[in-house]
Amino acid sequence: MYGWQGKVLRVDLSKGLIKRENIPETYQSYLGGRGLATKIFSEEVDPSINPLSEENKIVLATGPLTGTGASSGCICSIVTKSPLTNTITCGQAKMYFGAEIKAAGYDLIIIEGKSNSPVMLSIQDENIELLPADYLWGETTLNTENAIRLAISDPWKARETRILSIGPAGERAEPISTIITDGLPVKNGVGIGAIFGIKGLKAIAIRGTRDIDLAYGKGFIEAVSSSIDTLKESETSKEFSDFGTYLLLEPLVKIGALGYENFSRATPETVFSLSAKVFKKEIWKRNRGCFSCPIACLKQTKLGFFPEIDEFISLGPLCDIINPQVTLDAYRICIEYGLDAVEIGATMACAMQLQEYLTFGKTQAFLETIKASGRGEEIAGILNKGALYLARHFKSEDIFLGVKGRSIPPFDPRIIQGIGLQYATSNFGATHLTGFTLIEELKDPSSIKGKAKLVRDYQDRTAILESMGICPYAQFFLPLTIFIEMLNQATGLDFKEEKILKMGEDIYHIERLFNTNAGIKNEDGLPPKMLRQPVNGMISKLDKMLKEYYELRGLGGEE
Amino acid sequence: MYRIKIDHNKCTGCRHCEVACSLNRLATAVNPKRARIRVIQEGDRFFPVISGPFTDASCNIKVDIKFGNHVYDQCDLCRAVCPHKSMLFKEPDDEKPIQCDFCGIDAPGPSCVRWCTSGALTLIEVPSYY
Repeated sequence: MYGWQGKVLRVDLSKGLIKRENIPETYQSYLGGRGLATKIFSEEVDPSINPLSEENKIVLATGPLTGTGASSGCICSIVTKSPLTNTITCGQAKMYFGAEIKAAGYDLIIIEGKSNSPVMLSIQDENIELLPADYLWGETTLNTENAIRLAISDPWKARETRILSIGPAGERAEPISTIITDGLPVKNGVGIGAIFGIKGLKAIAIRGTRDIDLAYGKGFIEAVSSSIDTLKESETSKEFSDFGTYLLLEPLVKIGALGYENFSRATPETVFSLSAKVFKKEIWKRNRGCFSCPIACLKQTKLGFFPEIDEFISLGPLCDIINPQVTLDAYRICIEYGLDAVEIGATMACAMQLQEYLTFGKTQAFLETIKASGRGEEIAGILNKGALYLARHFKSEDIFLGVKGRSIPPFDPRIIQGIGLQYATSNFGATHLTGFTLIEELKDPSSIKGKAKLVRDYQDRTAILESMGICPYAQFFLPLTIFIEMLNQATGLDFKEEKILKMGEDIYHIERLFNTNAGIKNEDGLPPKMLRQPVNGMISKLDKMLKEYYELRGLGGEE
Repeated sequence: MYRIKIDHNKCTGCRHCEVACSLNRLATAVNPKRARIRVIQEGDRFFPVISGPFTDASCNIKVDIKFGNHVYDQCDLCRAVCPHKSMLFKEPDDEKPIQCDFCGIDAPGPSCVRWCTSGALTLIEVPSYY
């Protein structure tokens, strides 16, 4: 078997059993990663369960290109049922974790059951152990990583061990908790931390030394080399390396698409002081790349990673904080306690708008509240269940801006039409990460012509890239064909673009079916505020796009 | 004479050089643990280290290297294949030492340099003294 390792690790935490199985036979029709994990998860888990019950499972899956050195091939998808949205969800662990799973000789890790006491899963090739983790319980994610590394006697092996861990928020099974690996939160990981916490799994530490076999080494080298040559020549990829996702900041501010003060006002001029060039000069120390990523869009600061643009705006302008240092501090706290930055930002913005506990723009109270909610003090009971819970608690549900229980990311769907459709139709609740149409839409944000097709294409392409194990950001610089070429060279099989895109669509439909069976029906929409209350004279024209979108997807309206 | 110049200020820690090296060496398999260049992380800095000579005993001089305000262990930058660095630059199964052979010196350049997009690894020509 080439590209794949062909092994699945099944860990039953209830019985403490660890089994090594062969990869399911359907692997070629779903590739791996998000696709295969979704398929396995939807087959093994009853959609109607309570996400925090023992029956829920976690599937960590790498794709056939993860860890092989394919450009940006670093993704490990984590599929589970989210307590925040009650839908299926899929997070992307970046950095080195996915590559290390592959190097240890596995494609998938399935975690099921529930441990009575805190445990840690330690994997060293064939040596797999469930170790007691009482001494780690209650520690922040950074302390956990350090403590696990210190416990390994050989310092050189400790350095190569990659760790995925939850913070105190995850331990308390709070719906807005996420998972951290190498100091970087799992993208789209809101809610997954709670499942780790309820299962008593504090961390996964992994180190592998196995080969990943490729079918045609020479062809694979050529395919990757050609992608690197394309990147070296492309201007946008250089800009993306320099400024990361902040490439979008200035254009977004210019068209007024940043959510300011919980989308209650148009963006004022003070926000113009935020500029990627200033960040680069004053805060960023160097670019950081995930495993085998030639783009390296992450930014290192003195205090760990700099937030990406969605997290930055959520912890910044959305709460009227126009100070990158404060946002960076807040982000650091989120990472330490394992909180999802976008969701906690949106929740606090709601609290600020209601004038409960917080007010817009007060930095000291803002930082203290994040810390308090991370530590699990009294306020956490309200904040850490997400913005919808908070809005209901104060009996003003209209203040919650989200879809399927999850807050919308801070890009205004009234200004940028297509992203609104993406929020509405995403299977994981409102997120831009499964269909990142923003860059393409900047040319013509207000039009709705062709947006349904654009959103569908992005959703399918993202799904398939995550199934291969490629970071979805790579699609802005490299065509899908180059990745299919890498896939064919690595696996020795013959995939065609058409068939691959069909797989992307299949994945979307499996996820959607799971949600329907879980009782999530007729929830493709946007908050009423986005449809009725104009900003700069614009509202979201969702209905028209949604109709077109359903036709494209063959859904025939809502069932 | 050609040499590989390493600028660790530019290294992003993507470890694409390790992949390139192992792929070049193993032909039909990838395994960064068997690469002849390894990227060593110390705090938020990355040091690409190319494997050097084999020694059967570790040295007893310990030198600290200071960059800015941070003091680094010399072993982080040392190229030797020595017993102190348990598995670095050794085959994971039989612990045989592996050494950089400056592959493909002509047209495409060493594979690690070829795949480095950040500019941390470059091939430079230096005057020959020998």
